[in-house]
Amino acid sequence: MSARQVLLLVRKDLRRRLRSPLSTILVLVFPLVLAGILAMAFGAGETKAPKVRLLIDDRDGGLVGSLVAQAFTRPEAAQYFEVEKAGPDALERLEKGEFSALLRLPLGLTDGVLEGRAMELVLVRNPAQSILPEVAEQITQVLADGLSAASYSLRGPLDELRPLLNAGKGPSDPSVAAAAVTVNRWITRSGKYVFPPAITLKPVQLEKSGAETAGSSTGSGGVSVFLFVLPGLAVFSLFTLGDMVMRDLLGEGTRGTLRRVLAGPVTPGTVVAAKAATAAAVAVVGLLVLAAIAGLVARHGVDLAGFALLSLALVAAVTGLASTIYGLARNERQGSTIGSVLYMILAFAGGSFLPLDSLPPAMRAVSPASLFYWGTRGYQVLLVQGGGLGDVLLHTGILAGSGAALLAVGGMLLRRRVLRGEA
Amino acid sequence: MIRVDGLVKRFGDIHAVDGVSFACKAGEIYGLLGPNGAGKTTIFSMLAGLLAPDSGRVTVDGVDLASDPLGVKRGLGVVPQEVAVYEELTARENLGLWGGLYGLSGAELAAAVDRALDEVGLAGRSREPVQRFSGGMKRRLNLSLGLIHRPKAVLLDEPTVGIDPQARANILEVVRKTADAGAAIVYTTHYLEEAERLCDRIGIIDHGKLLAEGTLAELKALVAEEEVVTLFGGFDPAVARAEVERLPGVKVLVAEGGKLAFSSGGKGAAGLLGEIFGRGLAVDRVSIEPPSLNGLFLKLTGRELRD
Repeated sequence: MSARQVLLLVRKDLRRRLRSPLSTILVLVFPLVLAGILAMAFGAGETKAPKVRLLIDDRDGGLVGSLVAQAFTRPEAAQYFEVEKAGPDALERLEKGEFSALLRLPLGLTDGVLEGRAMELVLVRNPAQSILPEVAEQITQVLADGLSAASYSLRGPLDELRPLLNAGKGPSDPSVAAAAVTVNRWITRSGKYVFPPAITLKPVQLEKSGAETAGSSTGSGGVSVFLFVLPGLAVFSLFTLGDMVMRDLLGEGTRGTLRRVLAGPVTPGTVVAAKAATAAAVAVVGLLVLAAIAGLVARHGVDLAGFALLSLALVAAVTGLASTIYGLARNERQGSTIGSVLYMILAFAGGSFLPLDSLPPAMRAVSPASLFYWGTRGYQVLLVQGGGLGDVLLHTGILAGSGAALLAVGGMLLRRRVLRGEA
Repeated sequence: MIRVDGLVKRFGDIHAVDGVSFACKAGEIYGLLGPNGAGKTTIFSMLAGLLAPDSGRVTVDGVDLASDPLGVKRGLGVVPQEVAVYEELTARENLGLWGGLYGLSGAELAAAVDRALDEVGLAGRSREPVQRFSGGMKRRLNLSLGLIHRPKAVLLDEPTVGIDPQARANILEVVRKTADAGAAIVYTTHYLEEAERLCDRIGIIDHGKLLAEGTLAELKALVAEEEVVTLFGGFDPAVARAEVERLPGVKVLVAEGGKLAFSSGGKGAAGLLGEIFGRGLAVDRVSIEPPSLNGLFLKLTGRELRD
């Protein structure tokens, strides 16, 4: 393989891209435009995540129902929820899209919790929305879990007190004290589920494992929807760019220029290496553009070493995956189709388009198998959470390792095709 | 300079190339003449090192292509049938790229690019993207890309397909000059006139086999003084064949609906026609072709090269 020939071929391809830049520009502009639209829709640059508008239909009217309703209106929860008491037109307003969900607290909820009976909270989701009702459902699930725990914990002292009350004589001071101690302990234990911290439970979990939803970055303040969605879309864009460049190898086969190059003193390995290097160069340029814009928008400094290392690993993954796809595809059109479908699936599964917690649990479980997941998460850690090189080492390692393996396989497949005259 | 020995290539049951051998000396233009599908491009691909033969050997300047493909390719100029240029780049950039791939650089490359542009008359348009060029201009650039490094051996696969007479004349002129400068040139074509005008020696190929080869004079001698007479009319071809074959020395070449072609066997076509018309065949039109490559091809294969 001749390094000079590789450079000549890369320069040729970069010149061609510069002369016909439209497709490259479109792919690069796509994440910026989409992120911009999403930012405008959800309030770009604001320090608040989009609010969940929740209707509460409190048919219980007792202590527990009121506690649940208050949990959503405490100051800590108010930045996430806008709560309104449901009227007779609740379902109608939900259908109109005025609210994300309707929470129905059943009649007898307080008695049921105190007596340890099974009770059911009903959450009606707005089918026209996906993320916000999901947030409401998850928070409500946490509340329900907390109430269940409280019901079980209180059953002992209540059972002790109930016979005394039924016998017509007042409870003794020690038995009241014992019940009070038990209740106090329960409050201490379950407070983190039921009381205001329950509303913030989700962000607390997210801070441990990285950014998962728009609410996740509010812990450090200064969340930006633009910055939050940009990494996923940018990763998708970069894979699309890589695909576009590697597809050109098969395009050159169709146009006859590949045969002509190979009729010269140029090995198939040189041709494949040059195309991979072009894909990498275009991806680097794309990353620099996106990084510059992200840098302008970000309100905190970005760890440059982490960004550079993660980007290099991502470029390897982008090139490797595209090489493998076009090494396996029968022709340019088939490769393009397979690539488009595969990238969409990997992007959705990897959380590039939607927050991971809005995905079904089964899909969430396979998310780490998607290269998009590691790219998206890595950039979110750097850009949104202000993480550093140490925080993205795992992401970098997985991307680089997978990229190197895919590049080896793809390079071999492409070289074989070229040797057979199939490209 | 270029030597081909027993070249064979099969695609499944099809013998695309079946034991072809020929040689082309330095300064010579060797024409491979045959209809579309005869196997010319397959031979071209094997000579260019783009397709491995099932058997046989190609050597250029004594070096085996199979054992040193890169070494052989360095001295080989290849001009494919399709216009294989980068349309987004300028003519100068295309030439610079190919010159660079063949090892030219610096002042040597710049001089080679200027020379190549002058040769094909594109110097005035050298900085325009090729996509703005006419078909003829693209063809001329296509040719110059194969000659930028002054190769000792050149392969040209139908380089004048679909272009105007002016561009064709330019291409043929450049090819002649390249041969005169000492290059061995293998030139595939299905244009009779081109082969007759340009090639020093011609190999006639059909169904992957080399049927005859030699200089134009040698090939014409194969058909001697035989004229090819073709009758067109409403006759029954079987009846017409039987009638014509009764004539001594005459050989029927084609007998199909409304058409009968035969070689005159060295006799005057006019005398033969008088006898044929006397036998009552319903002939509407007659064509008499003097000894030619097409006549030879017809004699060798039973069909016309133009079919």
